Amino acid sequence: MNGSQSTPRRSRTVTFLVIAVLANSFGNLVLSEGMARMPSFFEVPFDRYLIALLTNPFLLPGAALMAIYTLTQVSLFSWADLSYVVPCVASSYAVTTLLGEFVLGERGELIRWFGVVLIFIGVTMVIETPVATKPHPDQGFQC
Amino acid sequence: MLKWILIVFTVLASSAGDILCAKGMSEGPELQDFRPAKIGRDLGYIVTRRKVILGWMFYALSFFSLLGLLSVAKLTVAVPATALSFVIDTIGARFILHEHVPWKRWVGVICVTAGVVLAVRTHPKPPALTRPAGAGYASVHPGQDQASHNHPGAHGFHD
Repeated sequence: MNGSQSTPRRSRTVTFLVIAVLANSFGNLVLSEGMARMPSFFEVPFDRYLIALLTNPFLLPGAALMAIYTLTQVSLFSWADLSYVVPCVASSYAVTTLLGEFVLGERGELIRWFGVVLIFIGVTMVIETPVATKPHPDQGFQC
Repeated sequence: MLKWILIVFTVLASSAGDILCAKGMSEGPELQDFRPAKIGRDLGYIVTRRKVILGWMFYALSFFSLLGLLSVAKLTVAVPATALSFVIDTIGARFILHEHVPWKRWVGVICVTAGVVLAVRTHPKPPALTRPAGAGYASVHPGQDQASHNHPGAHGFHD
């Protein structure tokens, strides 16, 4: 372990994880709102559905946020372990539940909050482990 | 039976996508320079990695499989079931990518998976004020409207 090298990498990792989680959570929120305003696919002609899709003000920002999420996560894979990134990004489920409660006004059951707490406990445990556990091909073992 | 086949296919395709993307990116240089002038170069690098492209194809398969799954199972069953991909990812990371997964990470992954199952499996109560239904505009399918907000991988990528 090399602290002087691992600290910038860890802070960069946390920054990217936060971006990925927020982009994923808000992307889903915006897309959900957008799709809720769409006509039913099976009840309108396809051209009308397509026009509604293209003129939907929520879909483009939602898709852009999801693209940011995907590219951020793939960038993380260039230096961080898959087994580190995936569970950390899964905290999006907890953030989405919080957004549902406080933005959409959903009233969650107690067991959902237990699930959210479990997610945060799990993410906290994962985030305490090293970002990478094998040497990177061009930089040697860093973290 | 079809439900279980689709669950297994969705989970495996999602995990295959994750593993391929991770493999493709970990074989190349570490991305470190994210200044605006360099972001285009980074993006160009990402979209030309063959394993990453293949990984995205598996994500697409996972997405369409999830759509099929949603036609035969409720969202509150489908999404928790696909949370199994976190465990499969970790097993793949250990035995395919040869990561050294510490016990703390295993416990964390199990907690996250259990948490997702609990957080998504139960329906939230509807909000006090609901959006008025516009003429000719239907909401998403009954029973899915609220739960759909809980699916971070709505595009099928994770989910």
